[in-house]
Amino acid sequence: MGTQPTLPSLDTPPSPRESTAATAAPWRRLRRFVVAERLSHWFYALFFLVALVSGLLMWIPASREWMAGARRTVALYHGYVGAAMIILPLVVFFLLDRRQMGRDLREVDKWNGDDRRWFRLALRGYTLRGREMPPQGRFNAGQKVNVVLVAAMAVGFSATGGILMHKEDMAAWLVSRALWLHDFLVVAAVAIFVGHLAHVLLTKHGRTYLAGMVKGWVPEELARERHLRWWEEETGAAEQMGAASEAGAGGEASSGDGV
Amino acid sequence: MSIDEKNIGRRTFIGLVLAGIVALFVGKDIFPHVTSGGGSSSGGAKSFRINSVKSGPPFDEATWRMTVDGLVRDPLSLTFSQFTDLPQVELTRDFLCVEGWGVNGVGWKGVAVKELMQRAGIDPQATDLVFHSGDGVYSDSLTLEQASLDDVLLVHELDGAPLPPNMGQPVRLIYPGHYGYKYVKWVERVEAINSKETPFTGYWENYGYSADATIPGYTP
Repeated sequence: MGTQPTLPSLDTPPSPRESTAATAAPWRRLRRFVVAERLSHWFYALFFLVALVSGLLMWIPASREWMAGARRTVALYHGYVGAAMIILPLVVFFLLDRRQMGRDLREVDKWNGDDRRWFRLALRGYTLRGREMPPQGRFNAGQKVNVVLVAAMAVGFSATGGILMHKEDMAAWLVSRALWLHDFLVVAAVAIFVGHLAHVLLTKHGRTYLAGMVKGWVPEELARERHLRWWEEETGAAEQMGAASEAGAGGEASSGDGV
Repeated sequence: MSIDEKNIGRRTFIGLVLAGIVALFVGKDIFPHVTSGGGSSSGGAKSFRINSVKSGPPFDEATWRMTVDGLVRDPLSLTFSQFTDLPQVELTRDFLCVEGWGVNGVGWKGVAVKELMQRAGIDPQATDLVFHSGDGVYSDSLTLEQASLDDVLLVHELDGAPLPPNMGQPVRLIYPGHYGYKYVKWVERVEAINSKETPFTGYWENYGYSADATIPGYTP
């Protein structure tokens, strides 16, 4: 450990810049998500669950029979929830926090060499084995892929869902293909959702991520271990690390996994 | 943006959306078994999704009757063997549900509805036939003109075998070229009505579906 940092109050989250030490203090926290991001995430999760449950109700033969004619109403609300999943990010972006959401998009978009290496290593199972990984920003490459996948699937769901909502006016071949793709996307979305849940619930750092999405803050220790570039940016440790490096210290590596 | 940074996020997003567009057009043909949503070209009872609003009654040949009544000259009450002794029609048609799935090349065998109309003697005042399901809930109607088409049948066989219980055993209506919600299962009664005097709306038509149910672009 390096220099003993000044203890911040546990009642009030510290400013990111309060931490200037080159090593992370487990009791200190960094703000990872603002309110708009957290609301967006949790409303999106809620809408996804409602869409999933209503979709399954319409898909399972026993529940179809149980709902009888109410199936039409369920289908209608399923469509409304689907539309809400498209509108929500737009509302957050344009009305709540355009600056922060724009920052999120830029971070998800831009990958440097460490991100690419991180992702290649993750595909080879390095994260599952707890191996050292290249340093990451506020989002690691796995989390970036997750965001991109969710966004692309939202486009796919809304396009195919729109066709299915107006199926009586559409060509039969198009409706049939849209239903196939909609079903296919459900399989993919459920796989991603289950993986996402398993990760945040079954691993210690996953539960820390989960708490971060609830409270907005993550322990500085987690940031340093798994998001070294972000930790350096937030704490100003990069300069200190650079100085240390010049004095003979080696490079840093973090471990961590995606989503 | 540093030299090392690349816009991989947006490229991946655009690539995925383009892949989705391709999948919309060819995915169902390339991966027919990934999901059940696209239906199948294999035909047969197993290719159908079961879409019932209520389970039908168990089939008992000893007590089952097909009734044709309402605005008719000679009401009919046929046993199952009397029904199957009527002239039989066999045809192969694609089945398509309004929800988007379908089954291609389904072999049906049954009695033309117009055969029953002739035997019962439809009253000139009648305009429509209402097909009542034995489930006590579901019903739908066809105009006399629609019901008189050669391929509108009350079928009891699917691909050479008796209709399975969940497919409407022993008899269901088929109306090729139209969505499956017109294919009333467990038909036990055909009632001739005058729709001006006794307006009728089918089960799903009450929930907004079109009474016509024509499949756009359908060719037998």
